Amino acid sequence: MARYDMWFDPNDVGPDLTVECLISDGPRAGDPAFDPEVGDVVLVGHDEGERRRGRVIGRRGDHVWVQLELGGATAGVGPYDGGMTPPDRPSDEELQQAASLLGDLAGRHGLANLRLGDPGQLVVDVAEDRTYFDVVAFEDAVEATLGWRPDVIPSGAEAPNPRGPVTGASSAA
Amino acid sequence: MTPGDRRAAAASELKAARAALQLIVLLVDEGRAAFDESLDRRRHLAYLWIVAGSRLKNHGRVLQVARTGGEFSLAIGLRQKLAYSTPDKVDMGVLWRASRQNAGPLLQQVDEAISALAAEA
Repeated sequence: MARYDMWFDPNDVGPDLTVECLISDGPRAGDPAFDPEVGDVVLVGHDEGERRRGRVIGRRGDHVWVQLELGGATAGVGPYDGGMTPPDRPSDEELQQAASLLGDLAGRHGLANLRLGDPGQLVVDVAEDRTYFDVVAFEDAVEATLGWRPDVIPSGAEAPNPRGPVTGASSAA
Repeated sequence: MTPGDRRAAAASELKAARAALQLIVLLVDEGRAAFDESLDRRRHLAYLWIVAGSRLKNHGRVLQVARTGGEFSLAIGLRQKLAYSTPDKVDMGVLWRASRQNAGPLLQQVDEAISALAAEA
């Protein structure tokens, strides 16, 4: 389940708090049930980890104009957290539950030995002939399939902080 | 903004991305040993990927095309990782391989996109 409906660019928010979104460019692009109309309340998020509620004030096909709400609770997604929690990062539990699928997708991109990293992160070994483009392609594939996007950290980084294998077993510790 | 204005702005973004990618290719030509020996060189390479990815992202924004699944989406995704990661979460060996394997073909794609925009004008 996607953590928000559409992506928005915070640089493009107008003085009237209106922003233009593309349905095709968001986590619900492939969801035929997502058909926002004027007046609907939607959740929009962006790359810097913020998620906001807004009201649809216009639509032309793929283009949707949303007026953002500021402050207060973000309905349906828990208490407002000041926009500091990345909306699309998975919990340890979600990563463990998807272990088999993650392993399969990782293998297709030359990635192996999946481990939990810092919250929302997966630590992986990257095959010698693979690059960051494969890492990003894996993240894209996970997001398209599961609706959330882990931050994938190659194990050769200075401090990947692996905590334990992603095996499908409980990660409670 | 008229369609012509959009094309001009998009071409400007692509040319800036091309300039960054050309510098990445030059750094790769200087070899892995030079890269490994110099922290400044490693940081410079990461910075150039952020510049290239940012400009490619802006190019899509100007033309109002989707970020995901587009021709430059992997470079933009790499930009996102580098821009939002802390330095100790970046694997410089994997970044070097991206520079060696991906920068050249991406540069060619960017050149083709610049030519396509010019042909539309």
